Amino acid sequence: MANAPFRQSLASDTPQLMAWVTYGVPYVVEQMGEAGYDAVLIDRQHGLGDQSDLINCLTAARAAGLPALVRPLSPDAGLIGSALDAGAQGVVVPLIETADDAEACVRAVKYAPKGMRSWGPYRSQLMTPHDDLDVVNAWTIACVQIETKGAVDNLEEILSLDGLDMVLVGPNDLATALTGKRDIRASEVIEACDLILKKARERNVFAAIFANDIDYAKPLFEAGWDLITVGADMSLLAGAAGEVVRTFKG
Amino acid sequence: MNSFDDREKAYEKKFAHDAELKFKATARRNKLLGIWAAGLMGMTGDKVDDYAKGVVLADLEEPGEEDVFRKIRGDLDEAKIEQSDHQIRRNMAELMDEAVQQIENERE
Repeated sequence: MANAPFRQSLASDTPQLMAWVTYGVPYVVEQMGEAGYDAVLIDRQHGLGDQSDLINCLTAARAAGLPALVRPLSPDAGLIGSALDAGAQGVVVPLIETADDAEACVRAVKYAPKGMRSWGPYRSQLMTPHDDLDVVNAWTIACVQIETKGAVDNLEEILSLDGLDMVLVGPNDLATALTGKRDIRASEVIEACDLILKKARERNVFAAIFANDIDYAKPLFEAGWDLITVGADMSLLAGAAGEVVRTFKG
Repeated sequence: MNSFDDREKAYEKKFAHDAELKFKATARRNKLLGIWAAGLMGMTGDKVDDYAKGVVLADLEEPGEEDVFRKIRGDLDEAKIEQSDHQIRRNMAELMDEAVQQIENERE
């Protein structure tokens, strides 16, 4: 939509930087906003915290002015709807293999006729005009992860789904799936990432990617990925803490 | 404010700090704009609502509001309703006033 926050930023030529919060702590979300990130993802798949922590993190995201995405535990329509009702602008759904898997996620995100999201936007209606479902559908971000061999094999079909707004590449899982090792710099992985970006562009689907560190992320910014994460909160903290210890304790 | 350009600038400033208000108010403005244009074209009843919904949908096409302007411009031309570009844009600005007021009143 013309003025849908976040979607407009994603459509710009500037890659957006997304913080990745695993701690489930609202203060961390606020800190990421203060640091200047463009968006935040609350990770419920591998992150800590429960539903109550998620709601607190989403409240913090709104206070910090950060568009918030949630990665649910699994590709489950109930978990997806629950995250959206709690105020997430979108979801990043893991463990997708087929176009049918992806389509079920899109349908869980979008209201009819595009999908079958259940009505109950208790917190999310603070942020969107829920009297017009087309506008809400244009606001929400339906994103699936491309991290399995199946998802790569079925990429074209997945990207052509009506209502799919974005794909997020997880190189760590993708490396495991394609090479049997966690070698995110393996040529198969780099080629798959390049292919996903190219195909997503062709289909007008936003392309997001997780980078473990700054060195891995630099070429991704140059390549023009729409949304990039550089490390999760816990790796940023561990990295900074490790540096202090190495400096003073050797 | 002397012109709708000034008014637009004032809103951009206000909206810079309130992206949610901008989003909600724009959607509401588009609906009001659709109702206005439907009236000019002599529509009544459900046709007005359907047309207004079409204007809201037109704004989903691309960033900015030229997509909305183009739709209104094209539909009024097709219906041979005389309205200058200036009149349409002025009305878009005035209806944004109303939309913001409506949304802010609903917040209270």
